[in-house]
Amino acid sequence: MAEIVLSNVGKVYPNGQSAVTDLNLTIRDKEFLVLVGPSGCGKSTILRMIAGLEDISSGTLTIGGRVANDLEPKDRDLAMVFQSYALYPHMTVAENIGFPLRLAKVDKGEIDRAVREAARILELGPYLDRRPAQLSGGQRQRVAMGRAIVRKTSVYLLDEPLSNLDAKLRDQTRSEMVDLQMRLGVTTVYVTHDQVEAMTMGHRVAVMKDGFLQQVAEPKVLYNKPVNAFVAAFIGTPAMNFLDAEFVDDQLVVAGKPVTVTDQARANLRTHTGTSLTLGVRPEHLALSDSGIGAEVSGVEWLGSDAIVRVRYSDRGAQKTLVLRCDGETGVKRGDIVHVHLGRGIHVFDEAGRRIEDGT
Amino acid sequence: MAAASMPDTMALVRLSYRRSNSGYKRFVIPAMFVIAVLTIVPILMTVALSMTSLSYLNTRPTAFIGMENYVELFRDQRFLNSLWQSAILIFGPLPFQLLFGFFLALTMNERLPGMGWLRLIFIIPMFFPPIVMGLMWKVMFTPQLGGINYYLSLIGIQGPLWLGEPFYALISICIAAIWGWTPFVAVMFYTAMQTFPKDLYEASRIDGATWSQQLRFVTLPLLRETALVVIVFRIMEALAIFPIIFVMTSGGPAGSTETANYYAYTAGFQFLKVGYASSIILTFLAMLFIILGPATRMLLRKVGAEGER
Amino acid sequence: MKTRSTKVTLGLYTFGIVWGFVIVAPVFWLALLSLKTPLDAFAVPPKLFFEPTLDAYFAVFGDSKFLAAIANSFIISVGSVVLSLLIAIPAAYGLRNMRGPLRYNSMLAILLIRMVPGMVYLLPFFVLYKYLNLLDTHIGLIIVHLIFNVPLIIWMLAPIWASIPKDLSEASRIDGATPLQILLLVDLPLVKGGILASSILAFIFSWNEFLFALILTRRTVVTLPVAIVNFLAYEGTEWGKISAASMFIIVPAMVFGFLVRRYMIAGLSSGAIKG
Repeated sequence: MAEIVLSNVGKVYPNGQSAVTDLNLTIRDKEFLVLVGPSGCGKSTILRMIAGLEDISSGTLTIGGRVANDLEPKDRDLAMVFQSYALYPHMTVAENIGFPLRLAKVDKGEIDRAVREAARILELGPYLDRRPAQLSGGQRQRVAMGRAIVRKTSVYLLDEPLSNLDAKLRDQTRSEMVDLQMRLGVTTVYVTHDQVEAMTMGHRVAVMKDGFLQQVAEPKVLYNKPVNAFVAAFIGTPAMNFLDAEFVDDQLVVAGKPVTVTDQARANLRTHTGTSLTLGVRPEHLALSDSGIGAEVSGVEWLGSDAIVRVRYSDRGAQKTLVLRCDGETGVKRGDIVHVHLGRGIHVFDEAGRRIEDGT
Repeated sequence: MAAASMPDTMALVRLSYRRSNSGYKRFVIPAMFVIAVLTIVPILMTVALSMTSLSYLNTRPTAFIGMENYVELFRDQRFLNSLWQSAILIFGPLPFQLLFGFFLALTMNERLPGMGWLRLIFIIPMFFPPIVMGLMWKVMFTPQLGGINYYLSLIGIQGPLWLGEPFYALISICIAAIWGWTPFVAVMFYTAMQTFPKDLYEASRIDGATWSQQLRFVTLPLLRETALVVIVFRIMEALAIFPIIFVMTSGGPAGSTETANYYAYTAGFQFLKVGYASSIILTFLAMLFIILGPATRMLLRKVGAEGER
Repeated sequence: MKTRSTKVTLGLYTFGIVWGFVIVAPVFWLALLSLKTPLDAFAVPPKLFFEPTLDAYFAVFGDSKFLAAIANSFIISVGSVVLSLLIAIPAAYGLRNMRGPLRYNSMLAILLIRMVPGMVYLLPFFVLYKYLNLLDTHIGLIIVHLIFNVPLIIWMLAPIWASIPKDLSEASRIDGATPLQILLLVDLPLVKGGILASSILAFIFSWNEFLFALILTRRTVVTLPVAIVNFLAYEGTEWGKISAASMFIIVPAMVFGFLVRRYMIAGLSSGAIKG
């Protein structure tokens, strides 16, 4: 039973630099929460504050109902996996995994049993007598996990644990970790800069930027209803297209053409008449058709089942680019003149980048 | 198939080395030549000298006398004493240098006000001319001139005649050596500590390690290799206390602080028995290498691996 | 951050300050001695406050033998550094660019030579110099100092050099530069800091060196460390002069040493630590 609550938490470094500002975030018991954002957004600072490696400048942190601001890391009932894995080079795998128990003065037989159990879960059995230097990246990562598992804490903190693995291994380990977290049912906070990891692993994802929490939601909500242009742009590959838009004559106009929107959206847009708006649309929601914005194909990346098509169009004299996700069977090629249809999945953001609700 | 292709592969590797090195060899050859002439020739000469009766004192012609010098060496009580005293002066200060050096390195590793200045002060002895180090400590231990005994008397201790009694003369030199070379040990440890990943300390903290447990389970094991390097360096360089002995005691009183190194100097340049002195220093060198052999080989492998990169 | 108990920090701090005192106290004592009259020098209890006099310094710098020793030390140190650089820089450059066992063995041999005690070389050099009439000459001592300074510079420069990306020299090689051109036009400007630092360390070594200077120079080409010892031997208990001269000899070593302390650590550990 460990819910982590951060209320009005802030972090200001002695040099005056502010890393996290007024953060309110609740991590539910047994939840897998991913903190994601570009580097320098404060996500690692949050994790380190939860761990107790950084002081909390303002606000309250409670872990499992206890105020933890001034608790020593070891008294917070949590385990942490570092980006570098932080394995002790002079200890064997078994000694590394058993180290926290050894510090807690658990008796030898008990440590041995716990280490074997952790090794069984992580399939590290054959490597128990090796040293970290003799292991592959994936095995090291599992040893670091083992050190967390063996403590039977109620919270895991994971700091970019997959970033030192190669792409293929990363994909595989991702699902293993999700599976493991499900089985162990331990509240997990996972920091990454990789939005694919965030979307595939988290029950909920918290997006950070410049020390401010932008949005925390389930991956689907994050994808379909980003609260602002930053979240919309950060989540999804290829990234969302952004087009300049205007609301004039009770119509949303993009590149000189009206775009159909829901009635609810139209109602909300009226208050923004005459301001410069941004229309966001994901590559898969754009379609090549007979009508729409006229454009020239500038490149096609064929990925197999689908193809990424880049087109150039001109908007009031300026050259702009759009990215479309088309069916793999599409026959367009560089230089073709096409029309791009805007219809589905339209997001409109106001001048400040905030999403304008469309009622869907 | 693998077995058959193996030699070919090695030959290819060698060939590729040879080809890529060929342009650079001529940059290295002059240095190698100079070093060889300046070191290997003299070492061979020392070996040759040690088998002669060369002495600038008597007028008898120098003769080849084979191993006679070596045979005499092991009947020479003064030489045997000097070996024992070498051991004391090499290994006596070492534990203190390691211990103090370790704690000094920990201190240097702290971020505390004024630490920049303290670090600067700590390394002063590293640039100190050994001869001045010796003079300085001679001053300190000379009655009246140095304050040591006066300040000891203030806390009720009757200070000994430091440089006048064999036992205390050895201690005086050890103190000078601890003063002079602890900073080297500290700097080596400190440099190593700075390369230790911060993550290890944070991870162990989360796992519940206290400061002393971090020292025991993280810092000390990681320092093991550095400590080996330091010990080998310190033993080889312990002979650098020659100038200190020279000015502090000149090997006295009654030869009690004479190391083998120093005895070789006395025999060669005061008694002018160059042949005999050569046998002294070669024997001592051989002993050093035997003691340090295994550790040195390990060290050299590591250093070599670094050179390889 | 309340990382650990303040007790530990305080303990280490105290230890550091005590050790700092242990280091400074004797140097300070020697400095005081150089400013005392002979009478004050032997006063009991020792005088920490007294009327300072520069007599000892005037005496030392009025001594033509001492002035000659300064010149000798300077000539020998500079000469040895220049000659060492001429030999060691190309060697370090060559070794840096070489691969395989040849390079490995060369580096090892150089290190081993540095580790052999000086006394082993001293005896044959004495015999040889006597024969060649090189005793008591500048060049004689300069040559002997090469034994230590050439390996020192090679071993210091090798890791510094290795830390510079090879791409630069490889790019210029593709542009058609010969190895010598690469050395002079590309690599040397990049390692000049390291060269300066290693020269300074070599200078300090020669400046401080005592054993070879004692034996291989006797009358005319006396260096500073030997000159001080001569004060001890010939002038009995002229402690003022000895301490004043000591102050003079440590100053260059200190100033230069502090300038290159960062590099010196690299030179000391010679990469042995990093592996």
